[in-house]
Amino acid sequence: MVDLPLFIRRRLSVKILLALTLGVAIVMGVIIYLGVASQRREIRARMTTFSQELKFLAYAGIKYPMSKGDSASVERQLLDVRTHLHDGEIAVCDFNQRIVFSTHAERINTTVAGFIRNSEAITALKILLEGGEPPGENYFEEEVDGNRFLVTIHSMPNEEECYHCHGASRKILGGMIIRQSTDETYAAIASLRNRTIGISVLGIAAIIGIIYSLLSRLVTRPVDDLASKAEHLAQGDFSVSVAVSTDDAIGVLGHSFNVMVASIKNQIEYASSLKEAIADPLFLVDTDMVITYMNEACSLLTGYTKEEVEGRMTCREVFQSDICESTCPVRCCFESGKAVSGVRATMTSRRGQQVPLMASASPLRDAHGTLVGGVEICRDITDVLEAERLRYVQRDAARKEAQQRYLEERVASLLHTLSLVAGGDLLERAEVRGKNDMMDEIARHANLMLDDLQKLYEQISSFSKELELEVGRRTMMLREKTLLLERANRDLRELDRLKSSFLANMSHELRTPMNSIIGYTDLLLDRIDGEINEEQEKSLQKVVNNARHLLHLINDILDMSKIESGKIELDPRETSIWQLVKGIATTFEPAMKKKGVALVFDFADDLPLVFIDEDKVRQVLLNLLSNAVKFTHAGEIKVSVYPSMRGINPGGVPIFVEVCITDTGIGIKEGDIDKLFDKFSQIDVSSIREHEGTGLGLSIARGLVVLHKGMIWAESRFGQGSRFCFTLPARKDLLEKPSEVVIEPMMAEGLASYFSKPVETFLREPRYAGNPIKCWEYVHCGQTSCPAYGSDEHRCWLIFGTHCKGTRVSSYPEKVGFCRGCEIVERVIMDEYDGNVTGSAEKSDVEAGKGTKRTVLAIDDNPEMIEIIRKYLGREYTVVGLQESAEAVRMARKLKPAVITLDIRMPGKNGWHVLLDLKQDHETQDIPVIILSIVDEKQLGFSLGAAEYIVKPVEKNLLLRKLDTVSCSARIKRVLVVETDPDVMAAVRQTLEEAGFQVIVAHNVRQAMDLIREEIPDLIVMNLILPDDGGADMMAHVKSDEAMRHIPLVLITERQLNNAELQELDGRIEAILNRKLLTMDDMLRELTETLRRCYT
Amino acid sequence: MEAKKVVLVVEDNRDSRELVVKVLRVRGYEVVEAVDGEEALRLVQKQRPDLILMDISLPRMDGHAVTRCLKGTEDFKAIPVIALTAHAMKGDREKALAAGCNGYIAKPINVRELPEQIKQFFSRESG
Repeated sequence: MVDLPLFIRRRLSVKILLALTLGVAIVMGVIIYLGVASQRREIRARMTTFSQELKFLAYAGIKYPMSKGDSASVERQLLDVRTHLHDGEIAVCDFNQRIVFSTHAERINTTVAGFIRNSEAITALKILLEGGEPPGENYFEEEVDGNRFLVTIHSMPNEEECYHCHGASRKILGGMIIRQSTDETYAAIASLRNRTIGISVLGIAAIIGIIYSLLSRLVTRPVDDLASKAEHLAQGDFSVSVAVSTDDAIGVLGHSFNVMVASIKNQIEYASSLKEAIADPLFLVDTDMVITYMNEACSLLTGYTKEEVEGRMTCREVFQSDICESTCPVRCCFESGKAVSGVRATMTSRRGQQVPLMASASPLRDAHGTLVGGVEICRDITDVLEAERLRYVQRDAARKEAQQRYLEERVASLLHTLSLVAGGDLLERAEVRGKNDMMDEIARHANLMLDDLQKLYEQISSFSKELELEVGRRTMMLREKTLLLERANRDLRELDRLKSSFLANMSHELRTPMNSIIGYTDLLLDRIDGEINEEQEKSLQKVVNNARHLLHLINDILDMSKIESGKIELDPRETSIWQLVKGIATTFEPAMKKKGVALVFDFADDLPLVFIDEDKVRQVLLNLLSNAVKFTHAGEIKVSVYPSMRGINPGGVPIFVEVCITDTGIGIKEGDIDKLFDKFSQIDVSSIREHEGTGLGLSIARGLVVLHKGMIWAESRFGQGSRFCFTLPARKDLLEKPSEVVIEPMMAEGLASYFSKPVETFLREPRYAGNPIKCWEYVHCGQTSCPAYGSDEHRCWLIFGTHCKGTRVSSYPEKVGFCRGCEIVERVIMDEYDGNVTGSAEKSDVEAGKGTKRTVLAIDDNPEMIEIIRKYLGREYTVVGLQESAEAVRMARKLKPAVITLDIRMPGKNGWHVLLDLKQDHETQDIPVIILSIVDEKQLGFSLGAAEYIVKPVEKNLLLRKLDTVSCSARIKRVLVVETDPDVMAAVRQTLEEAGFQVIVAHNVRQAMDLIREEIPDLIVMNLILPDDGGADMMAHVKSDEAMRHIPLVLITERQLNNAELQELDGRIEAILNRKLLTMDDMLRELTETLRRCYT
Repeated sequence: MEAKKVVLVVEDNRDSRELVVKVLRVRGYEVVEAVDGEEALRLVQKQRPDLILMDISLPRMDGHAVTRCLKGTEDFKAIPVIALTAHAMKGDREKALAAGCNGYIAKPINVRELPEQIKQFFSRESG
């Protein structure tokens, strides 16, 4: 590229002018050149033609002289031609190229070569002279001595006229050379050319001027304007705009420029507002790291104002950061040419505040990609760091927690394993996860221990198998013994009743003669039949005393037997107890005075009235007082009456009054106190003589007090005195036998603590697990000391407070002694509350139905689960819920449920333990247990003796079906009896049919097997000893067939089974009825009882 | 001195009966004896006693039945009947009163108290 001078480079108009001029000059130059060239050709052609004409002219003139050899004519002729020539010469040469003639005499006799210098022309002449035709044009130009000439050569043929000299063989005689000066011609041409050029240059200049002015007006000026405006724009002046006056491209350009300016302005304003709007500090630097722009946030961060910084300070000065040169983000991005982000640094602001930053930088480039600076955005990451720190702390906590959880989980797993092992699954091993942590170490050690345990267990189990067999055998025997015992008990009860009745009758019979004895003796003593002497009177007195004692004895026996046979009824009336006590005690005063014993009364002021049968209470008081008087020889007898605190809370209205008789008598030995109230137990036998008594007094007193729902007890220190106390009811309703449940506060408290519920729950409306508590029933014991003796009580406090054998005796601890050996069974029945039942008839139906419903004991720590089970089973079963797993065995023994449902995961005692306990207790081991659990460990469940295993959630139909299966449900309808003895058969059949069973009979094994196959019975009663000796086989068959094995078997045998047989039978039969041990009636009763107990 | 009161003693046990008879005669009552219910009814018609001491446990026809019979007869229902019984159980008194007895003395009778009890009864009747 040629370097043009600056002013040209800068001036578009000059460039245009130059280009225009150059272009036009070239065009014109070419035109002129072509014009001149064609002129020359034309001139040359003309001159050639002229030469031709000259030749002809000259030749025509000289031809003839020559043929005659007239040289003078030739010379004249040529001189003549010379006049017509301006600057031309004509020469005639012979064929030796020697000039013979010429217009110019000096040339004659010279060679052609001296005349023309153009070698081509000489060569062409030579060819011509030899008779050939020279190639090309016959004219040549040459320059001699600065003069330009045009030379033409022509041949001179040998014609006939010349033959005489030259002969005819020669064709050519010589040549004619015509030389003309071209200078004049060329000068004319040049002058013409110069004139043309001059005119052309002038025209060109004019054209250029016109074009330039037009261009300048239409293009250059607006473009220059645009350029200068653009320059301003480039320098940052955004206020520029160009005037647009035309619609052509320039106009469009101008308009576009304006639009562009506006657009750029907008863009810049947008960008700058954007920069300001960025909340994070942002600054721009140039390549020298000098800050060219910083936004408000940056200013706030650094503490410098924009004015202080922009264009004045480098970013390192502004940001006193801990960052070094090589990691400076702007520097980095300058070096790499790429954006850099996420560089962390801590800067110190102008105020000295340390701020953690996260910086990102990008290079800024201009349109050509040249680096012009950088932009850096930095963010105050104090919050981010804090969040990160928090996250770290949380993560750390989570990690620790995970570790903790892991440990807990491992421990739980270990414990689970151990509990499974404890539950009997010795093959269970702790999980070793190969993490080589402490837990693994523990697990490994535990496993080693378990291995040892298993070995030990295997040793033990070989023993225990024998033991189990032994237990099985014993259990069988025990069952038989139990049956016998029950029978004996029944007999005993009957005997007891007979005894009481006999005593009542006998005492009447005894009394009649006593009546006469005493009566007549009294008559004698009263001298009715005349005077008697002193000795006679003494004797009669002894008769009457002994008779009276006998009568007393008889009366006591009568009373006792009446109490025991439950024939005494009270006639309770409202009575002032202290008056009664005082009245009776006073009658003993003379006797006491005689012995020197003082009588002391101690009555409370606010004694309530009592509801008592005065005669009975008098009897009690007389007995106690007479005892006191009898055994006290000095000191005092204190009679005190106070309201009792029994059954109430402190400060409550008393419901009992306590009467105590304290003496300073001989006292009772500690070990004797328990026996005190037993029949015929006057303690110190040696003192009977002195202290006459029947030995029944305290038993009767106890019976009478107990009839008043009271208690009687004794305290004593041997040799120092005794204290007898009893309580009497201060409320009439205590003596009434309520039809509705009466709940006392104490009972409510007992229930509340028993069921872990607030006491109000039971006081307001007794409810448990959402259902009203309808009734408490219990069977009383046979002890006369029992408050419930002889009645079936509906009074809750009595039941709960006193007779809970095996449960807590919450409010009457002193009664435990009285109830020692008591067979009371307290039963809490919580009937399902059916809100829909309204009509009384329906209700009674429902209640009647309830009586026959079988019981399901649902053990689950979750009351809702119990509710669900109750909802599912309530129609068919009475569901009793139990949340405390530890109470399971006790409740099962008490309720004798048909089925127990058992949860596994329970606090305290888990289900496995409960199951084990249930299966180990001989009273509960036969109750089928259905496990309802979320853990699926059927194998373990079944191995521990569960009948069924349902994994929660429990589905109603499944539960019912399983229940029906395990409990043999009400579907026992058809009973197969296999028996050979027709009498037994008939009796059993009748009994079963009366009990509502459908009976089918078989007389031998074959028949039985056919029947079993035909229609599977629900129960089989069979004689083990069948004639075809197939009883055992049949049983084995039934028990081994999948379809039949569930059929319960009741065996009738006629001999004592030996141990081997019992072992064989163990676990496969419901009951054994031994014909040898049981009477027919007993057997039948036992049979129906078994069926009823288990299946209906 | 008013006429001697006539007391009918119905008692199957001879010793007992004679004891009562003796006691009452000593006290100045005129006593008629019957060994069973049927005899008692006969004697009531013949003697028309002022008071009947009636043992309850009698052979064949017991004291309750005799009393009901007497109380059912217009002529004799005014005659007071005192039951004598060894059945000193609750309900005996009510049973006796329900049968129509006017009083109740439990056996064994106290020979010293019996005359007083009867005297009190008569004074209550007349009063």
